This record gives sequence, C-alpha cells and structure tokens, in this order.
Amino acid sequence: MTTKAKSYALNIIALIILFALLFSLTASGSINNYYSGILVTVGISIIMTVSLNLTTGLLGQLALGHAGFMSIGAYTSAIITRNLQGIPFGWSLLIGLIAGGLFAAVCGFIIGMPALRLKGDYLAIITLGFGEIIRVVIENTSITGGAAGLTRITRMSRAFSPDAQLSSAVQMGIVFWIMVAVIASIFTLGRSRHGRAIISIRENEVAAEATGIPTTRYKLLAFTLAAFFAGIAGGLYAHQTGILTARYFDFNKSIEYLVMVVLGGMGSITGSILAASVLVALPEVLRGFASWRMVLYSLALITMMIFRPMGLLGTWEFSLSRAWQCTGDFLKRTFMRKERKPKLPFVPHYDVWEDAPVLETHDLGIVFGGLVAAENINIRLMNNEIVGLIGPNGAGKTTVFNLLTGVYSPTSGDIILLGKSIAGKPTHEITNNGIGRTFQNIRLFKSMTVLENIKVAFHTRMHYSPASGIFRTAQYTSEERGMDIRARELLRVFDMEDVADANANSLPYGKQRKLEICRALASNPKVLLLDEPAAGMNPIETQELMETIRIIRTRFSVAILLIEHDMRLVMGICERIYVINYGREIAEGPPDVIANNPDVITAYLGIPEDVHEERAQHAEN
Amino acid sequence: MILFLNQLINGLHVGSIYALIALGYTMVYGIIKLINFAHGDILMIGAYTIVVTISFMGWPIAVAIIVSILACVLFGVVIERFAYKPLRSSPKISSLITAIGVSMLLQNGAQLIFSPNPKPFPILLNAPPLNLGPLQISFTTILTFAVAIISMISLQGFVSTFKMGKAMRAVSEDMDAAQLMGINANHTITATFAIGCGLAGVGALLYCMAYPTVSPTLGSLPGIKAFIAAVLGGIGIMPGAMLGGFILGIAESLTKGYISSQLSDAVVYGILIIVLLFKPAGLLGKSVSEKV
Amino acid sequence: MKTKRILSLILAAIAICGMTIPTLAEDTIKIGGIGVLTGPAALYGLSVQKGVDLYIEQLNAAGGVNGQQVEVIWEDSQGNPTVGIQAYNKLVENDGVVGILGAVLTDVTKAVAEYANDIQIPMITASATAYEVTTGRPSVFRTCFLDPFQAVAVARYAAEAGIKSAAVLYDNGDEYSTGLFNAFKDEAEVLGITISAAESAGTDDVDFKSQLTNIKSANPEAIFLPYYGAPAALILRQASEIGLDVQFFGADGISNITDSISDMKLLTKMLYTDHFTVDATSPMATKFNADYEAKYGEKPSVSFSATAYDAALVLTQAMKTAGTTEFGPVVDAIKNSQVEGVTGVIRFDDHNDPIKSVFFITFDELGNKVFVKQLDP
Repeated sequence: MTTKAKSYALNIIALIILFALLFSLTASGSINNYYSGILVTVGISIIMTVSLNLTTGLLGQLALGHAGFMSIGAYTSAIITRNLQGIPFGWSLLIGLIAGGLFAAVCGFIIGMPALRLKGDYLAIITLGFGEIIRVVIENTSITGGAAGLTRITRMSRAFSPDAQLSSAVQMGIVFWIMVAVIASIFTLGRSRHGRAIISIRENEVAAEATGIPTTRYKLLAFTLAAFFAGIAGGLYAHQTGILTARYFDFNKSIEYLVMVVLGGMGSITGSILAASVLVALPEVLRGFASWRMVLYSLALITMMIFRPMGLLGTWEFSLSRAWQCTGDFLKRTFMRKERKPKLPFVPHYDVWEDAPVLETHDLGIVFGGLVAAENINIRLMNNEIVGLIGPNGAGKTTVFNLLTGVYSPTSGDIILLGKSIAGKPTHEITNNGIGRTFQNIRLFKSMTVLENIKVAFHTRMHYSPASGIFRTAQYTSEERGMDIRARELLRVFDMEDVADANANSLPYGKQRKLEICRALASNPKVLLLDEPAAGMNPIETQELMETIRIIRTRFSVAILLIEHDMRLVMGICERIYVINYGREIAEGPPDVIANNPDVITAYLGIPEDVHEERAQHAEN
Repeated sequence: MILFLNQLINGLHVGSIYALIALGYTMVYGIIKLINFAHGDILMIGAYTIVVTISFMGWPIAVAIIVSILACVLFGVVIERFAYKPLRSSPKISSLITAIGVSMLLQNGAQLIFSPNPKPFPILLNAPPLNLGPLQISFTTILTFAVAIISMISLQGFVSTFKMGKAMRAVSEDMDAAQLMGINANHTITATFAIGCGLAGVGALLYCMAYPTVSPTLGSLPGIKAFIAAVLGGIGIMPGAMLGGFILGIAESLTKGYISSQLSDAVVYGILIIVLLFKPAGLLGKSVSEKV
Repeated sequence: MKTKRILSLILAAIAICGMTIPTLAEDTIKIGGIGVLTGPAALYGLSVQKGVDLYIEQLNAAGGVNGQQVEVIWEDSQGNPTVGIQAYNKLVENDGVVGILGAVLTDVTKAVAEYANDIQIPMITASATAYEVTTGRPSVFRTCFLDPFQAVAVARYAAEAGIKSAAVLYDNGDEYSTGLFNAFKDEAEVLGITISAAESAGTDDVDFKSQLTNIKSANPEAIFLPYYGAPAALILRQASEIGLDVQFFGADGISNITDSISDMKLLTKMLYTDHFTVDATSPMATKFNADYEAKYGEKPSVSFSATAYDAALVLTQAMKTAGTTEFGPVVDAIKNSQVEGVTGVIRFDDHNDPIKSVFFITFDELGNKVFVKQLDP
C-alpha cells in the first residue's frame, strides 16, 4: 500500500511539474502566444472531448449537439463577465464559468428528459436538432448580439496582469487545472458505482434495468454532466478568443468533437486526450499545405478509421490511470482522515410469513394490439420453493417473466410481491423490491469484468452520491470496499473467484450463465426467475446446475421460478410445476402429476386422433 | 388564399427534391444501417459533372445528364467498396465517422479541383411558367414534382417485383439470413449504393435547376435536410422518405411565408423532435421493441 | 502493428514537412496577410491576396521599402475567428511580421483587430465594412468604405430615382447583411421610402421563394438585397421564376455575381454600390486593370482586389514615410497619409475609415459591369 501511495504521489508531482514547466515557459515567453494559443485550444478541446466521451463512450448514446451546450456556456459566461465589471476579473470569470456550466447543465437536463427516450441514430438526429435550435435562438436574441455576436469579451490572456506573458501563463494555468479537474472527475466517476451504472447501460440496457439500475435517471445524469463540462469549456473558449459568433457552434463543430471521441476510442479517456491533441495540432502542422491541408486531414481520418475502427486506443486507458484513485487515498492519508470500516451492501429484510406466498399473480394477462399473449395467469410461489414454468415453444413463458419483472406492463390482473402490488412498476424498482432474473439469451455487461458485473447489481444497496464518487470521499471508499468484499464472497460460492477480473465476454458459456445468476442474486432477491438456465448445456453441466440451484435456494433463501425445456432438470428439482400453452395456464401440480396430465401431453405432443374425434363429438353435443 | 397556394407550391417543389435525395439516404440506411453523410456530396459530384460537361465541353444536355448520373453511381460504388466495406463488421459509429471523413474529402477535393468559387449551373430549359388563373407554377416545379413521384413509384415497383429488389429487402431485414438463402450480400449492397447514388444524380439535376449555383459545399445543406426527411418519415422506409421530404418542404415554406424565416430551421427541427417523441421510429416506422 | 508503424511514419513525415516553413533572409520586411483562402468565402480572401501580391511585386521591382524587399506571408483564416487569431499569433510571434493586411471577413477581422490592438501593430483590412471594426483600435485601418455609408448611398439613389416603396430581403445570420439592412431602413424612412416588406433568410439558405412570394404580394417598386454574389444570383433567378420583375439594389457584396449566374439578362435589373469600377479612368485604375489582367489572366471579379492593392500601398507608403517599420511611427504615418490609390485618393477620418467615393454599377445583357454614377462623400 505504501509503495502504491508513493506512486500516486509521484503522479501528482508529475502534474505539478508539468504545470510549472508550462507556466514558466509561457511566462518567460519561450512558449509564445502562438504555441500557448494552440495549447489552450487543445486543453479546451480535451474538456469537450472527454465530456462528450461521457455520453458517447461511457453511456453509449450518440449525441450530435455537444457544441450547442458549449455555446450556451460561452455566451452565459461572456455576458456575466461583461456585466460584472466592478469586481476583479478572476472572480467574475469564476462566476461566469460556473454559471455557464450550470446553465448548460440545466439546458442539457431539459433537452435530455425527452430526447433520451430515443436511442441510436434517432437520438443522434434529435440532439442535432436541439443543437441547431440553440444556435438559431442565440442568433435571434438581442442579449447575445444576434448575428454579429459578442465582441471585446475580456480575454484571459490580457486581463490577469499588465504583463502580457504572465497573463498568458495564468490563462494556461487556469485551462490546465480545469482540464485536469474535468478529466479527473470523469475518471473517478467512471470507476464508482454510478460510473458502472452508466457503463452497464451502454453494455445492455435491458439487463441494466433488470439488475436494478434506474436507467433513465443515469442517462440523464451523464447527459447533464457532459453538458455542464461543455458549458465550462465554452466559457473558457469565450474568454480565450474574445469574440463569439453563433454560427461557429453549429453541427460541424459538434461533429468535430465527435470525431475526436471516436478516433481516440469510445470510452477511453486517454484516447480522447490523445485524439483532441492530435486533431487540434494537425491542421496547424499542415498549414504549409494550404488547400491540400483539409484533403490530407480527411484522408488521414478515413485511413485511421479503416485500420483502427475501434479508435486509436479502443477502450484502453493509460496505465497510470489509477493515479486518480490514489490521489484520493493519498490526500486522505495526508489529511489524516480516519478510514471508515468497509461498509457492506445493505441486505434488505423481507417480511415473510410461513404460509403466505412470496409472489402471487391474480388473473395476470397482457394483450399486444389484439393478440392475447397471456391471460388469467395465476401463479403462487411459496417461500424457498422451486417451481417450474413449462410449456411448448411460444406458449408465453418468457412473457410471464417479462410481466413479473415489469418489462411489460400487464393489461389485466395483478402481481403481489410480499403482500404488495408491483404491477406496472418500472423494472428497476421491482428488482429492488426483491425479484432477480436471468435471460434466455445471456445479457451480461460484456466489456466489464466479472466483478464489475456483480457490483452493478449492488448499485441500489449503496448510498454514496455521484459527488462523493468524483471526490473519493471516505464514504465512497468504505462502500466500494464493502461491495468488493461481498462480490468476491458471492463469486466464491459459485467457484468463480479466479475469474473475478476477467472480462465477462471472455468466459466460457457455462460460466457466463452462472455469472448471470450470480448477478441476479447480488441484488438480494426474494424471488429468483431463471429463464432456461440449462439451455445449451450438456448433461453433466445440467447435473451440476441442478446442484447449484438447490444450493442457491438454501443458501440465499429465495423462491425460484424457472423456465426450462430440459424435463430431466424440471422433474428433478421442481417441487411444483405450472404448465402454460397459448398464454393460458393449463395445469399445475407436482412433477409426477404433471407428467401424466393428458392436457399437458396434448399440449406437447398434439391431440391423438381418437381423442380428437371424441372431443369433437363432445363439442357437438 | 393565392398566397397560401403559392407557398404550398413552393413547399412542394423543395419537398420533392428533399424526397428524392431522402430516398437514396433511406435505401442505404435500410441496408447497412449507416447514416451516409457523404450522400449530399454525391449530389455535388453530379452537379459539377453537368457543369463540366455542358459549360466546358459543350456536350448535348441529354448525354451530360446521363454521364452525371453515371458519375454519381460510380462514386457511390467506389466509396462503398473502399471506405465502408472494410468497416462493415465494426461498430456503426466507426462507419459514421468514416462517412464524415469521406464527406470532407469530397468537399475539399472538389475545392481543390474546381476552386471554392461558386460556378453558374447552365440553363437546361427555359419554358414559360404555367398560368392557372392567378396562380403561376414554374415549369421546373412541375418537372421536379413529376420526376420525384415517378422515381418513387418505379423504385417501389423495382423493390417489390425484381429479384435484385427482393434481395435488397431481404438483406436489409437480416443480412446473415439472406446470405444463407444464397443472396450475395456484397452485390446487393453495391446495387443499393448504385441506385441510391443514381437517385442523388437525378436529385442533383433537379436541385441545380432550382438553385443554379454550384459550389463544393453544395451538398451539405440538402444532405442534412434529406436526412431529416428520411428520419421524419421513418428511416429505411421508402414511402416514409417521400412523405418526410414533402412535410419538410411544406413546413419550411409555410414557416418562411407566415411565421418567420429566422425560425424555419427551428420549426423543422421542432417538428422532427415532436414526431420522434411520439413516434420514435418516424411517421411510417414501426417501433420494434427489443426482444427480451 | 505494421499499419500502426506506417501510420505513425506518415504522420511524422507530415509533421516534418509542416515544420520546415521556408526560412527567410533577414533583410526583408515581413508583412502578414490573413484571409479566408479556403472554404465557401475563399473568393474574397483570394481576391484580396491577388491585389496585395500584385502591388508588392511591383513595389519590390521598384526597389522595395527603405532599401529592403517586402515579403507578404499569407495565412488562411478559414473564415473562422479562432483560426484567424491562431494565424495572427503565428505571423506575429513566429514570423515576426511588422504589419497585418487583412483579415477579410468581418467577424474574423474583429477578432484579429482586438489582438492587433494589444501591441498596436499597424493593420489594414481591405474588406471588413462593419462600423465597429476600427472603433477604439487606433492601429487598425481599412481601405473600403462602411456598410452604413453604402446603404445610405443606395437609399438616396433610390429616392432620387423616384422610388416610393421598397422591400428588403436580407441574411439574418450574417452581420454584413443585417448591418446594411438596418442602415438602409433608417435612411429610407428619412427619405420617405416605405419599406413594404422586410424578409430575411438563414445564412446557408438557397430557397428564397417563400420570402419572394411574400415580397411579391406586398408589391414594392424595388428590392434591396444586401447579399453576396452567389446567393444574390439565386435570388434573382427565383424572383424571375415567380414573376417578380422589379428593380434590385445591392451593395458591394454583389460584385462577384457574374461568376454565379448563367442567365446574364437577369442582371440588367440589378444596381449596386462598389469600391471600384473596372471602367474607372484614372491612370492608377487603368494601370491596375491592365497589370492585374497581365498577371492573373482575368479581370478582377471582386473590387476587394483593388482595395487590397490600396491597403498594401498605404501600409508600405507609411513605412517609407516613417523611414522605419516601428509600429508607432508607421501607425502615425498611415493616419496622416494622403495617397493616390487605385480606388481614389485615400485619407483617413478620426475613426480610421477612408473618406472616399462610392460607385454605382449595373450590368448589360452580357453581364459586363456598366458604370452608372459616382457619389462623392
């Protein structure tokens, strides 16, 4: 630990040395205004790129209106510093930057609320639309100077000191430290429970919701935060150039930053920093080529995308990336803050009566535009019971699961979980109230590690805020350590501790299934829904799985409802079985009764000729 | 009333052009799910080909038109082969950035060859406007509208009757399954680009007849508008592109005419946003919820 | 791995090429030229560049300034203020220029002028016509006239021609256009011309039919188009399509309209103000026209090549007068200059604007510019 702390300290020292170097070189004029201008532009572009990476890389949502937020921040802060002439420029700039960021964040929030309901290319175009609307509004408002824009905005490179070089150096310092702060916050946030929640949405939104993540809220959080940082970058830009014209914040500007994000590698902050630096510097380097410059630039872009489609760095991060985590640890040690005990994820207490069912449905049904997918489903699950849900393909088994977990809202009937109705509630709330599930087609957060997959599920059992994630407070550390302990414990039960740090998609199939169950259990459910857990398993694996399911039941004290086609498994472990066909429940009972039920045999094998006739006659009568 | 009808006709004129370009957008999107940002620039290629062939080389108009459409097709196919095909299995966003790169390359390349100065587009026909009482409809408007409708109908016919058309639909539904059925996906994609870009060639002709100035950035505005039209109608759906184009054209024209031209872009985007919020897959699109 | 290495090699090669900016002999006077040399507005930047280069070539042939040759280093602003500032910084800090010619577009010029004002380096723009450019910036000058001035001139011309009602179609996203519109409107009201319709469009718009349809229904006698040539060409065409057949007025932006229009007959309806006319008969102007055509093989299409020629003339003349390239004396010399230029005698008022004549120009059926009248200040 001490060697680690040392290396962390080294990183901070490295930053300070870099800053001191830049500052003194600028102040002495060795870095002249031309180069310092480029460096400051690089810094601002890095803030823009890293913040856009939060929405596009980490959250995985394509946004094409980032420049709009930049312009909001730019205009807001410029108008504020202009009207606060009475106080020192440093203070009015600070107020302006923060206000610009906040106003951009408010706009981001208002825009995000409706827009984030869409995904992919549709989200892209709608953010593009909002970006353009922002531009049109600015162009037609008098306080922003209309088409002429704002000029003679106090410039950072002149206003701090009568000595121009010193003032440029101060500007460099301000941009440098704001950039460091933004990068650090996004780094630390990305490695907190909130960051995992955001990444899990990118990986698999449905699974994230089923693991208890309020996805809408997290999308909005990421989007708003990105807008906030973009607003700050805009404020810096305004006070760097001294002039603002709305038309430079158009769609092309947003594209410029998107190119930086994708070229650097989506999700890689190091990549964003690298790409922003390269793409700002490249046109300057190419100045000598005149009109060939942009041709070369676009050719370079196409070539790089073709040869490195995942971006220059993919999702890889600079190996000293942990420096940020350590910053917190180091600071803590310096300030002698007492370390809290690891705080384990909160295990909810469920009130269960011996004879009351934990989960019960009353005449549950759903109609999709005239098609009855399920109706009159009455399922009861007692405490610690293992119950099977079987039926031919297309019988509506998964539909029942989707109803129980709130993926679909029932059109009729009710679902009672531990005495409370949960019908119509959003998935993540249902998950938090005690239902965990797995999916027929495995839905893991593929590019996250095994451990992280489980930590995502602890999300709602923890309490630290995004801010404490960013600033690495004691609460953050204790809760993160608690999660780590619990997650490893859970993995140990399933014999998977050895792969804890492997990527989820590198696991063999059987282990991926296990991990999904593990993740479902991590949210401490009272009821576990398993959707074809044995699919694709060989008989030996299936045998093991049966054993595991029994262990789960006793060890985690859950009721299990499972969908399965493997009758050996169903008959082997289920205490009761429900059979549905065509969306209706056709039989219920212990395995041996079900196996001999004529209706069930009919449903699976079709109606024998004689019975068919007999029934036809019966119907005639 | 006359004013309103006039504005409506203006809107139909612009709308037909948007619709035609949007068709190409939508076809390409439908098949490889790529927002082809370079589509507008194909338009620019077509326009410059006509300027070069007619104004500089003095070719007959009919030949020039055919050559320009062929040039668009050629560019489309070459771009697909060299820029998009290597990225087919990469994340969609990588292809998107490549498309942006291609768009920049075409614009800057054109600037290098033709200089950034706008060039006049030759006058192809000078027919008198049609007078319907107090209404005056220019011949270009009628021609544009007719060409757009005919292209749309023949394209729909092609897709539903011909083998290649059916292959396109199959590939856009499910590329892997289509390949298992013996459809050569590569050929089909190439054919889609060829047809889409050919339509852009026709679009270029009509666009430049209405706005007879050709510059390297000519394509970006109609490109983005057509893209919006395609999304508005439901991207990937041909009648949707047509519908989206007309709605966009008429909305723009009426906003400029009755509300304020400053706000026409805001209104266009506003309509788009409202439509997407209530019908997330566009006007004619079917919302496909993810199977769980 | 291999591709990575090749890529990095390519990038390194590009970087090296970019860094090796030709080193210059120390005995030349270096002047920085900033203009939009690429992109849609490049025509204006390139015209300015051609005008300046023509003059500097002649100047060097005649012995240069104070026994030194003059070299102009051009940097592209891409029409973007940020890039313009970067270009300015490079010229001043890395190349050590002693004067700035440019920038070309109004907003870039405003951004650069603010920086030039910091160190009081002499700067002359040939084309930024917005009033505010030189306000409170003692070292910034221009050789073109101002938006308010030409808009007022157009309004007066219209009033003299007996026009009672006029409509305006302007670009709402462009400062040049909105500035002209406001000045025209104010003067027209004073002169008793009714503004029967004021329609606007966005900067990138190409379809003006809706606005023109509205204007047509307002039935004006004339239309003022504060636009650049390319969009103006589209407007004239669309106006004729919807049967709007009235007199059009424009400002200096119109001067390159012939490049973008194929139906020259439409131009006979257009009358605009310019800084210069190719029909000008002064010996300087005739010589300029001849030299320009000899050097570039074409007639100057935008009058900014003439104002740029004058800008270079004024700057170098001031260096001669001051006998030095030190900023202070040169700025003073510019301030007091009284130079016979291509576009007339140039002297500056208190606001660093030239006091000069405006030329009214129209076109014949073949698109040739026809000089109508000259209005002196």
